[in-house]
Amino acid sequence: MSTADLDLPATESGATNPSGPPVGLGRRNRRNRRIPISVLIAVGWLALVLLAVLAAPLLPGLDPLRGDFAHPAAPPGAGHWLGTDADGRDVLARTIAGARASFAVAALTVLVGLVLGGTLGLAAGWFGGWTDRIIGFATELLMSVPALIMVMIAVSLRGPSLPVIGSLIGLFTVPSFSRVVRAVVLSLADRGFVVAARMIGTSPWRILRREIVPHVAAAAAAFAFTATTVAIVAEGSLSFLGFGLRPPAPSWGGIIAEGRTTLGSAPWISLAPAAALCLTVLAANYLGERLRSADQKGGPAR
Amino acid sequence: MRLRLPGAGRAGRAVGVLLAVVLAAAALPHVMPGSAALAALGPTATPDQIAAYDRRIGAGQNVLSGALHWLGGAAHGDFGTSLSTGVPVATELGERIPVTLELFLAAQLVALAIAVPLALASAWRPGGLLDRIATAGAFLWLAVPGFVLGLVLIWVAAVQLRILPATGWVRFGQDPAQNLKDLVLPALTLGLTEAAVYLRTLRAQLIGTLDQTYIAAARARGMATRRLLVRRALRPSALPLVTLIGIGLGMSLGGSVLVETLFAVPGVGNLAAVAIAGRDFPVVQAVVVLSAVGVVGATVLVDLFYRRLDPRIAHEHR
Amino acid sequence: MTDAWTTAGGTIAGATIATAATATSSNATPPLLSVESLSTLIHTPDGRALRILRDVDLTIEAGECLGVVGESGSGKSFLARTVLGVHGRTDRVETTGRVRLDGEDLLSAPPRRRAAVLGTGIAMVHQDPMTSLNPVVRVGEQIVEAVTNRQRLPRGQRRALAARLLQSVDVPDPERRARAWPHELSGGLRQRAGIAAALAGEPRLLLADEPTTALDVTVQRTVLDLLDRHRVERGLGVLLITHDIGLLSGRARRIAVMYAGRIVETGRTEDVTAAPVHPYTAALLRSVPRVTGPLIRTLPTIAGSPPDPASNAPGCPFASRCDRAEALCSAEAPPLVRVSDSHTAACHRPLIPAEESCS
Repeated sequence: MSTADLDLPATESGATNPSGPPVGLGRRNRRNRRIPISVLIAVGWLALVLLAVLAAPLLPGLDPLRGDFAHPAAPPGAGHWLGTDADGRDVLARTIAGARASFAVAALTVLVGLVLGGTLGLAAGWFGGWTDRIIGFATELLMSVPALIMVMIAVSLRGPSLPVIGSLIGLFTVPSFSRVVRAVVLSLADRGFVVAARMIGTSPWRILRREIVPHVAAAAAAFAFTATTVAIVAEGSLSFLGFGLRPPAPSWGGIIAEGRTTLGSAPWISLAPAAALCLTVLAANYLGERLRSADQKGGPAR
Repeated sequence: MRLRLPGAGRAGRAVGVLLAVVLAAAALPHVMPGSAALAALGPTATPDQIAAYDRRIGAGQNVLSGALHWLGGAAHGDFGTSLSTGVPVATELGERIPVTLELFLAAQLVALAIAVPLALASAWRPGGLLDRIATAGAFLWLAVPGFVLGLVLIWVAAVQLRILPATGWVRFGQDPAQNLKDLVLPALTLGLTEAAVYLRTLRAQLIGTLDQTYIAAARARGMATRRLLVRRALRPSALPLVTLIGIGLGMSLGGSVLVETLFAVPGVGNLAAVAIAGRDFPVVQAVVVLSAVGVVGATVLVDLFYRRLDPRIAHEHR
Repeated sequence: MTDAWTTAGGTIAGATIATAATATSSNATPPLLSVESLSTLIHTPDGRALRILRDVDLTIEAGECLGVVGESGSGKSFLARTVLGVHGRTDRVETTGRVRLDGEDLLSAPPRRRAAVLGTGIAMVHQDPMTSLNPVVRVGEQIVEAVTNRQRLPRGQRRALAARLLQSVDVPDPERRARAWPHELSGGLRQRAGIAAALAGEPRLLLADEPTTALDVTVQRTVLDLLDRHRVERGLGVLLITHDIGLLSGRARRIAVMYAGRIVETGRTEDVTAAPVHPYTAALLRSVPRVTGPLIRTLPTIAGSPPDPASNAPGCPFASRCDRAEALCSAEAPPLVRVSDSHTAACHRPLIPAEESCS
């Protein structure tokens, strides 16, 4: 993908977009109250990955760095479920270790995006006027610079550390977060309960806290899933280009890139973590989409 | 009273964005004078070497004068010289922009050839079998990042089937056939990824269009479905897609860093990756500004194209 | 705008009304349109089945205007679409009965044949001229669609045809208007363009679905007069759908009153409006503002709402809103009351004693 890798699919996830939920996935289950099976699968997969990330250090067999020199580049099988890499290291163990790095970046990204973008979006939507215009200009500015290249530059100056990568990717999710939140605030500002609260003299801060933020939170939470996938993919792209987290704690992207050279003889080294990454992105995308459509159905008519 | 000129707000903001990006780009070496030199020359560099390096990249001056200096040069087509190759940045860019544009155009062809017919067919019967497959497929496809897709394509086409080269690039002028062969995998990687986004965008818009009375009216006059979709529904539904393509065009000038690196395509993105890794600041500055110019320019182009697509927009601005 | 139609249409209208009136009485040939026990069922995505039309019968002769009147939701627009055979692309519609155009049943005809009739046998004028013209296609191109959908025409011929059609609906400066975009025309001009588009395929039957509802009152009459003129000139059968029963006097020879997907009363316009038999028709007539009488008075509205189209309750659908209803009304389907040869109504408690009653 292009530098647009880092750019959130704003047209897809922004509040301005009429695109509906994916018709093919579990639409028929919407009517009943039970949680659809597709959601359970998505949640289940994410839980499994998280559990593996947390439990791996406790399990002796899953050391991502220990090389089984007797079996270099071994195909998936009994001893190593996903095979070994060129140095005889277990691919499953490395995939799980990669998940840890990818998730760490994603968590930082979402934190930065949510806090900064959420605040800016609230301010822009609530105050309007010059505040809105300045914030709008800043977001436009951020969106017209090549995000991936900017992060690469920063990494080349500052080194590929988790804080640098996570916070910078987070910075580039700020415009999208801000727009989502701003749209919700604008849609709420004219609604009866807010107008009523204003008329009876409720303080603006109280209205913000009690009436606006809870509504905004739903939209922002839905978007956080999208931002998670953006962060994972962006960090993967960075690693792939050699600008990501470095060994001994490589991310999914780094591991996938490592396996490139042996793609002909041992494709599993790349493809196994690649599959894990895709499934995770899919699950998070799906949950975000479900949350968004649920929010739009129940929430204000936008 | 605020003075309101038609389009002044947009144009003003575009110019503002560009200026800010130029400033930021010019500020790059100033952010950390010396650190760039240290990074480039290594820890063994002497203070003299560092000072000399900083002078070459213009660090040490204040940011504003640095930016003005850079702008002055850029106005004459002088973007400085590459620190690593000694080639003028303008020359380098001149050679690489056509490559990137060729890749972009090929990728758009791939994406549109897939997305447009699928969107038309699935929007005609939303919820139908084809629509459910296409929508679910596009959603699954969105989860495959470009670098994974590229890798899989290399594995299938170059490693398993051995029908296409994995990497490399021959200019069209040298050997058109080989150039097109080299083009296939990178164009597929870029195009297939975008196809999913295009499909979702266009489908959503088409569904809205097809519910309009004027579509029912055209059907009542006996217009065949295929003609109706292509001649009457596509155009009023195309605005968001045009925006996406425009943004893509703008971004592509900054280079498709990932795909160009993965397939060793000598375009702007490849240049950017190499320049950043080598702390070749003049090149990096030029690429960043070029990219912003691309985005802003594409926005203007999209605006102009909107008016052609939808006469009502031209009407409003008159 | 107004003088355009008077100069163009004034002379012809008076001369040919007589022929239209005589054409209807010959029963040797089948009527232009004959709808026989037409019923439709819509299957909604959530699995319900809505009965929109129930046993609708009607006929239209060449050169005749039949007014179909009813509240919104009575199924009158759906009737037009069913006659045309074009439903919403996602609607799952099940249709039974007969729709005969010049004796040929369209419902059982193969799709290709039905498509061939669109625009050339039956044409439609839509309600809102603001939404029924494609905003990104020049007016002229849309007007000639009924022709260009069947044969390729070079641009020059398309333009000439569009201009001719626009001229026939009294659009001034037709050449320029044909090249205009829809948003550049006023509502009245757009509706004329819509009528021109309907006339382009030289249809025999015109379905006009509330053609003036969205227009200014001042423009409404000229548009209706225009329809009348073409009906007379071309011997065009017109199904004029409206919610405004007052609009039909002097324009429609006969009226069919629709309620809850059924035709509850039908007859010659003057008979029905002067002496309505069905309480619903009477209620509709009471809600029409009169030019005479006190200026400020509240018009009576009909309390309640039509029944759920999904329900299959027996009895008269109007029973729950009818002030004459008795127990029988909601228990048994109302019989057909025949006031005269042409005037019938479906009611247990008709407003005038019937000559005979048959169930």
